[in-house]
Amino acid sequence: MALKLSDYRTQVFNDWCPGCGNFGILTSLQMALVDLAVKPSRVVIISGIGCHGKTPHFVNAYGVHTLHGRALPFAIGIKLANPELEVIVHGGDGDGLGIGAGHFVNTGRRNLDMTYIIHDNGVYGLTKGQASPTLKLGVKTKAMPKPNINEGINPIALALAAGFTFIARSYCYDVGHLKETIKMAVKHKGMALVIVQQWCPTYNEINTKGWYNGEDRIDPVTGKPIPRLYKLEENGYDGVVRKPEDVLPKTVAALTKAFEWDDKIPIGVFYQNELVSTFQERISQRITTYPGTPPAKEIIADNMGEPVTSIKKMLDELKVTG
Amino acid sequence: MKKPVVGEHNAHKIRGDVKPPEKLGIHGTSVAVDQDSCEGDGICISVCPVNVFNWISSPGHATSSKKSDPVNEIDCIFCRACESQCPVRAIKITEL
Ligand SMILES: Cc1ncc(C[n+]2csc(CCOP(=O)(O)OP(=O)(O)O)c2C)c(N)n1
Ligand code: SF4
Ligand code: SF4
Ligand SMILES: [Mg+2]
Repeated sequence: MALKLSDYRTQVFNDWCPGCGNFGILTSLQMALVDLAVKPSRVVIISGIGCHGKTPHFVNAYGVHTLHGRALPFAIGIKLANPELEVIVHGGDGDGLGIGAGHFVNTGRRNLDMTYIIHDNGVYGLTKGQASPTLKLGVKTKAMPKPNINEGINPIALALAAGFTFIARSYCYDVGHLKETIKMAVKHKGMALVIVQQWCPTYNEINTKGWYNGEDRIDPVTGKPIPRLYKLEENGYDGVVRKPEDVLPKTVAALTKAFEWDDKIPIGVFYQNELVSTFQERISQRITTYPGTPPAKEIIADNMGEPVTSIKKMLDELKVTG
Repeated sequence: MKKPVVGEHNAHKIRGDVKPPEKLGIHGTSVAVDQDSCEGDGICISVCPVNVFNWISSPGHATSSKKSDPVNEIDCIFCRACESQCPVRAIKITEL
């Protein structure tokens, strides 16, 4: 039977603030899962700590709400134990690019076949609006006593350096664009990153709906706002690597686009390279039984519930004699 | 939503007591706007991230001469911004 949006909903009370961009991300994710026709029993949603971290509670699928900054290591373990699962990780800009930045870089290198969605609202929403690592130098949001003294990190440039093989940006309330971007990320063979520009109407009064729509910049000719966001694919940009020689020029092109901000903010796929081997493929070369019997499918106990693995031989070797 | 459906326009259902121009009823199902309470403030139109509402004129109605109408109800993503900001609490959001 065809899946419906309601198949991915739960009855858990949602306490995100009214108008929070997380609602757009949640709905886009659920719509993407419906379109991809993956059954809830095949999906795992993993999150770190922050407002974004509540996502698994609202999606009817397997889920783990993990530790601050540590969603990726949990996800890597789950994916390696059971590669048949569709693993989707939700992180915050603080969670994933502050405390979790080391995991971010090392997840890029591994190239597991998973999806990582970062809810980028420029603040630590859950802890009342401190500057997050993506907030730009000199910007002051309402909970900060003074403008930001640090420069903001560029997550797309960092992802390119780390080796993510699918790198895209989307927008929380362009639900159609975000849904399609999540679908591409899930279908991508390798580690996919989707940065979602997210409003936090409660603490970020700078990067608002009006700011993204360019309501402060009225075109003198048309009298209409000039939107800040524009779609890469509608501007003839193509970030897909099709042959090894494409890697360097496409990386440079993506990096150049990654530094556009303020007046013009690109959304869409910056870079995609499916020529890189996945971590699962690399493991399968070393452990030939891995694809057929990953850890989740291994028999670990006999019908009496006793472990089938015995470490007696190892212990015997360590026995102190004489 | 318990009230019977009495009509349909702009791709949503209308419920309740409807005797235009004095009584306009409740417009929409998942985004239900009580157009008899609506005072035409318009905050829902400005806060809705996915443009669910549009103005509809209501000459001869006691509370206001224009009303918010959930013309793109199908696009609602249930963020509840409209429900929480409406000064007269005329909107009720229900995830269907
Ligand atoms: C180890 C640890 N350090 C600090 C915290 C406090 N803390 C909770 S959420 C958070 C930041 C959340 O910001 P972000 O990841 O951007 O999520 P948002 O709430 O904006 O979605 C911090 C610092 C924590 N929970 N655990
Ligand atoms: S604090 Fe910000 S990010 Fe958190 S739920 Fe509220 S609006 Fe959303
Ligand atoms: S709940 Fe949000 S998306 Fe739905 S109509 Fe209200 S403001 Fe628009
Ligand atoms: Mg944040």
